[in-house]
Order: sequence, then structure tokens, then C-alpha cells
Amino acid sequence: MLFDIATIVFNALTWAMATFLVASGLTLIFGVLHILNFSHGGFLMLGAYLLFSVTQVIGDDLSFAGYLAVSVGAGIVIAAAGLIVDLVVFRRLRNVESAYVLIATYALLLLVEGLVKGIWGAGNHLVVPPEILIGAVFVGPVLLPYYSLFVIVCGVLAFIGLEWFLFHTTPGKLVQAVAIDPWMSSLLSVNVERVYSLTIVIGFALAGLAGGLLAANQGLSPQLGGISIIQAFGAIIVGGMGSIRGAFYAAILLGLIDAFGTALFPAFPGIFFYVALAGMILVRPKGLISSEFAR
Amino acid sequence: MNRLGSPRLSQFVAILAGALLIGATLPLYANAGIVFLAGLVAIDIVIALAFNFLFATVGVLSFGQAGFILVGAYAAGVAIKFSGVSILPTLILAGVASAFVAMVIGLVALRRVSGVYFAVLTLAFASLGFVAVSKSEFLGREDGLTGITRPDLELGIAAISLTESVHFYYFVLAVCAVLIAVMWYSTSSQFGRTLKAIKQDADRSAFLGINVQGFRVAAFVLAGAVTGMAGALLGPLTQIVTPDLGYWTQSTKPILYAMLGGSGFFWGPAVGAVLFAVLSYATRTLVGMTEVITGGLLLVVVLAIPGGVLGVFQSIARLVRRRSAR
Amino acid sequence: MTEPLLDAAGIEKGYGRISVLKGVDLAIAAGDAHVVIGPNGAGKTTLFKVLSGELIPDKGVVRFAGHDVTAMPGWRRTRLGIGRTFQVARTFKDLTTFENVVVALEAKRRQTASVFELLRLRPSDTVRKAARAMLDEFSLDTVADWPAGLLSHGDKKSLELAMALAARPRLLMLDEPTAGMAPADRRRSIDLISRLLAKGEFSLLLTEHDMEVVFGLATSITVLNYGEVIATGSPEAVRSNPRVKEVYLGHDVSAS
Repeated sequence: MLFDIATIVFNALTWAMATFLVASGLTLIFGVLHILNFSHGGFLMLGAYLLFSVTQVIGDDLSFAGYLAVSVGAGIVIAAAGLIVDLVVFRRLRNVESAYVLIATYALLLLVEGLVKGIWGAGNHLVVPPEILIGAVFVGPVLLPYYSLFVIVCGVLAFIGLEWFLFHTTPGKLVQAVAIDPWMSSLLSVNVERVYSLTIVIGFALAGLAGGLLAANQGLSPQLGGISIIQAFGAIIVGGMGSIRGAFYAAILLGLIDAFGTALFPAFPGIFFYVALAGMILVRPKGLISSEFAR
Repeated sequence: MNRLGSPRLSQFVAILAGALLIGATLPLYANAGIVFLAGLVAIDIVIALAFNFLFATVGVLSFGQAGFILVGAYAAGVAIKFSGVSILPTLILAGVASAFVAMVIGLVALRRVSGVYFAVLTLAFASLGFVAVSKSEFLGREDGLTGITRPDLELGIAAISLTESVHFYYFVLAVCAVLIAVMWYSTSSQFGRTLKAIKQDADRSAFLGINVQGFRVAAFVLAGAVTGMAGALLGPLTQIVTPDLGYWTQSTKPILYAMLGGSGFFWGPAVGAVLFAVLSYATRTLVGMTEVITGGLLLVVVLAIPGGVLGVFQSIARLVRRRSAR
Repeated sequence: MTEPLLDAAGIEKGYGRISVLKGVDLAIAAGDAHVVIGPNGAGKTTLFKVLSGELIPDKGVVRFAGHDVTAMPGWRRTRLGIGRTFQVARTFKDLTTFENVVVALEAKRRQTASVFELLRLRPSDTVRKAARAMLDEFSLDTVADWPAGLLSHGDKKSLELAMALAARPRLLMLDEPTAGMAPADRRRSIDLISRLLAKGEFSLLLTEHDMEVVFGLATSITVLNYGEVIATGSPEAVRSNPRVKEVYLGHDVSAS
């Protein structure tokens, strides 16, 4: 029984960190630009498919370093795509009602989904993880797959990295300043547009990177974008929109609730995520941590 | 006159009658496939009008309208399969079921959250419904309810069989016309006027003695019931009800229709639905392009013509009038 | 003495650790024109919000016409007979001036109207006539068909006043009714308010900065300072109150 619980917690943490990897860029962009970017999941999926294509070309026996390098590459490509999206879409919707912006980013998600279907087909693809991540280790009687451990490490590193960036570097502090008061920041001669662009680059790069890192976590299908965005929405809403720390905790919380719920009621897998999400919004509509980048 | 461009009663009746005339004569010259599609479009129009009622008149963005389609469709499906009632009680049951769901969601959600939060919350509720239905043994899991028949239309002593596709098509047209009239009335009457006021300034409305939450919940329930009744037609029409009706991408179809046609106009969503149907039909050979077309179109509309097609027409009409006035 | 129309006792309200109102008592008799004055940050606006129903006080009781309204939401208070305007006039900008008044009138009638009237497609003749009459009275007839968003600042204030009065309030609360107005508009506005007041249909509570307005309208005055009432009474009494002179009115009054 105790071992079961340990396994459930471990699976929950894996799910939570994978979700946080998706949610981190999403919540960063929302915190600064107040755009809830539906297409984030689409670009994450695009990153994953890019990695898949690379493995098709150079063979799917990537080394660990090679896998990481290709993921970073996917991050860079998606970051570049982010700049284009900013130029073509976001910039033109700066002063438009948030409902329209939400609809525009949703349209973008559909577009990316269609592109993926067009290029890679509607079927499933599989990415083989690097050899070192295949297999598992027993800790006591609990089986821990290496790949899950890798996902957890990635999630924690992303969290620490973002927190360090936002609170201990000059560009990070500028991002925070703009998030809190863009008008005041512009008076203090901060180039607000450039900070917006920087945020979008980081946010999209995180999406692409996460796509690469998580590509081998599950099968690739054109539905991946939609599925991952809903989970990430859940994490950032429960965590408090715009809060990195909140998203981190919320992902863990939602992961645990869903994992234990599914363990108790195996007939309804995945349903507890939504129950928890709806419940949390109703109890704490502003989320766990309400203001942007609140500590 | 106001910015929402609600037409006058005579104008509304004329447009609805014109649309019904086109719809009613369709089986005379179009093949069965097209007539079937026209029935689906009529249902889509109602769903899109209900969405736009919430969006443009009440001022709430719902990303979960598919949830009400799902509730209505399954309520009707279960009623037909397990009870054998006639069609009108079936529709009413579907309306009551989705109204009840809308009321529960509205009472808890509308009070606490707004804007983007409400959009995502409705999305979550709809996804919850989707997952719950596709895991339910009783409702046939992912396969849904198959072999749904078309119950008779019982009017007092006479019972009209709707088994024939064309008969059912006429029934769909009639029901949709009634539901469209309900939406128009709700937009144009005192109820709609008050909702428009609430949308523009909820605090100001409250300090005129208007029960803002009550009106919002009532509007949400109305839109839910209308959507559910439209959804109830889908089962008998297609003879199957699957969880896919409530998949979250379904919720965005009405959004697209409203944006495409022009959400600032009562008929905007209807124009959008028809346009999109024509477009999809014309490009039906381009397999797998649905998302690219839908997404691309939606993006272009939001970026380039936020007023939708009717908005463009209105601008052109104004330009012509100004020029001829000169 | 009869019971006052509005009676607030021991009102306390704070935001976080900052306490804004520290035990405010205020009573308005029927027929009064009561003005709350005080320096910036004295708590006038917070008091206004507590009395109108925008905020619920941390402590204290607000009674209106015999009802305890302390925790009653704004729309219910409005139905009991408390009307209000906002500091920056708020109207329904996409509805026409006429429709704005119609919405306000219909909101009032909804309390008593028959089902038949509620279900009518167009506003009833009674409502339309009443709306026209109000627009005439408030000199808004020429802009009746304009979207309210296009009205001038002064006209917006008049329209909002008309909407508040459409609910036939027993107590009308105005939050700085002449804020940001040009002197001519300001005078026009005071004239309008005193003319309406003279009909004796409602009592008035207003917050105001402008001393001309204050002493032109008030039958009684409450002076707030740092969340406490330092004086209350007739304009003459307040004017000669040494404490008021000291903390607030001082040079203003002697100069005028």
C-alpha cells in the first residue's frame, strides 16, 4: 500500500513537471503581456515534431547530449517563430479586448494543428528516447523510470532557472517591472516593446524546448497541442495567472489530486484534473498566488 | 438605434421568412446529401446565435458551449432509446437538462469569475463533461449511443412520422426557426436592453436597481437551453450521438461563425455559419485542411475585419451612401 | 424627533492594515441636503461607498428607512430608495441617451410591472413618455438619439443624474457632482440640483470639494478628517467651528 502511494506520488510529480514545463512559458507571457496564449500548446507540439524530424534524418539513436542539443535547437526555432507571431498577431492586438486576443491565439493553435497534420500526417509517431534514459531503477520496491526522473529534473531546473532569471538578473527585473506597470516603466526609459519581445522569445523558447524534452514522453499526434494546453491552463489558473511559482505548486497539486483520484476511481481516469480545476477556481478564483511574480 | 444593430421586428420576420423559404425549397432541387448538410447548418446557426447572445449581448465569453450540445444530445438520445417518447417532449427534456446544467454552472461561476477566467472555466466544465460521458458505460463510452431513431411528432390527435429524412429536415427547420425567434426576442426586448446595459457597465446597472447576477445567470441558462435543444436535434438527424459532440474544439465553431459573420450583428453568426459551410463544402476535397482553413480564416477575420463580413458590408453601404449624398 | 432617513453608526472600514474610517456616525433627516466634506484622504469616498453599498463596512451599522442595509448589495439598496451617481459619470456609452433613461425607468418599473409589460418587445408608452419628459427636464432632448458615449462631460453628468432619479430615490447620493466641470457648467448643475431638491421628493447626500457648491446646497454638513467626524451640524455651526477652521476650512472660508 505504501509502495503504491509512493508510485502514485512519483507519477504525479512526473505529470506535474511535464505540465509545468508547458505552463512556465504560458504564465510568463500572461504575466507580462496579459495574453492567454492558446497557441502555446501548438508551438510545443511543433517543437516535438521538429525533434522527431531530426531523428528521422540523422537516425533515432541520439546520444543524451545530442537529444538535449536538438531540444535546444527546437527551442531556438520556436523562439524565432514567436518573434514572427508577435509581429504579425500580438502587436496588432495590443489594445483589443482580451476576448478577441484569446480567440486569435486559439485560431493560431488550429492553424499550427493543421500544419502539423499537413506535414506529418494525422497518425501517431514515436520518438525513441536516448539510450541512457531507457529503463528504470528500483528505489526500494518503487520502480522509477529514468525518463520520468529526467522530466522531473527538467521541470525543477526550469523552475529554478526562471526564478533566478526573474529575481536575480537585470533583464529579469526589467521584465518584472514591465509586468507590474508598463506605463511607469516606459517613463523610466525602459524599452517596453523590447521587453515584450524578450518575454515572447523566452516564452516560446520554453515551449519549443519543452516540446523537445517531452517528445519521447508520449506518442506524438496532432492532438498533443490541445491536450497539453488545457493541462497547462489548469496549472496557471490554479496557480494564479502570471505567477511562475504558483504554476509550479499548482502543477504539483493538480498532479497529486488527479493521480490519487484516478487510483481511487480507476473507471474515470483524467476526470479529477477537471474536478480539481473547477473546484479550485471556485474556491480561489485568483489562484494560489494572486499577483504577478509575487513571491 | 443602437450599436448592436438589432433589426426591427418586420425586418427580422422578413429575413427569417426568406431564409426559411430557401431552406424549405432546397429539397426540390438539391440532393439528399446537401439537404442533410443544410439541416446541420440550421442547427449550427442556432448554436452560434446562442453563443453570440452571450458574447455580444451579455458580454461573457464561453468556451464551453459544446458542453450544452453534449447535454442536450445525450438527454435526447437517452430519452429516445430508453423511453420512446415523441419528439417534442424529447426536445423539452433536452432543454430542461441543459438549462439545469447551465444554471448550476452559472450560479457558481458567473458570481465569482469573469473574462478570461470564465472562458477557461467553461472550457474546463465542457471538458469534464466530455471525459465523463466518454467513460460512462451507460452512455456507451467513446462509441456513444448508436441507432437513434426519429420519434413521431405528436400533435394532439394526429401523429406525423419523421422517419423520412426530408420530413425530419422540415422539422429541424421549424424548430430552428422557433429557437432563432427566441434568441431574437431575448436580444431585442426589455430583457436584452437590460443585458446590454449590464454588459456596458455592470456597476451602473446595479445602482439602477438591476439584479446583475440574476440577469446574467438567466441569460446563461437561456443560451444553454437553446444550445441544448439544438443539440438534441443532432441525434435523430445523424442517428448517432458520440462524445465528440462535446469535444472542446466543437465549442469554437460558434465562435468562428460569430466572428466571421460579425458578432456585432444579430444575423452575423448565421451568415458566418452559412459562409463557412459553403467554404467547407467547396474545399471538401482538401483532406485534412479543416484546421488550416478554420484557423487561418478565424485569424484573418480577427486581425483584419474584426467587424466580420456584415461589418464590411455595413462600411461599404455607408461609403456608398455618403458618396451618393454628395 | 422622528427617525432619520439614513442612519450610520460606528462605521469602521480599512484596507489591509490601513484604517480609513474610524467609527463614523452620520444621520440624514428626511428632506435634508447633507454634504460631507473633508480634505483629500479623509475617507469621504470610502464612506460614500459604504453607504451606497459598494463596500461592506468592517464594523458598524447602516440603517435606511427602518431597514438594516449594512450588508445589502447595491441593487437592493437602490430598490429600497437609495440612488447614486459616480464621481466620473457612468452611462451606457453604446446605448442612446434616450435608451439610457429607458433602461433606468424600466429597472424601476420592473418592481411593480405586470408580466405583460415585462414581455413587451418595445418600451411601453408610459416609459417612453416618461423618458421624453425627463430628457426635456434635463435639457437632453437635442441629444436624445446620440450614443451616450459621444455626449459632452456636462451632458453625461446630467444624464447620469436623470438615470439616478428615474428610480425615484428617497435619498440621492452624489459623489462630487461638479468635479472637473467648467464654472458655467458647474453653476448650471447646481441650479438643476437645487431645483430638483426644491420639489421635496428626495433627500440629498453629497461629497464635494467646491465650497460654493457646499454652501449653496447644504442644509447640514459633516466634516471628516482622517476617518473621523470632527464636526457635524448646520452650515453656520460648521463654519464657525474652531476645530474645522483649524484643520480644514481655515483660510478657505475667511478668504471667501
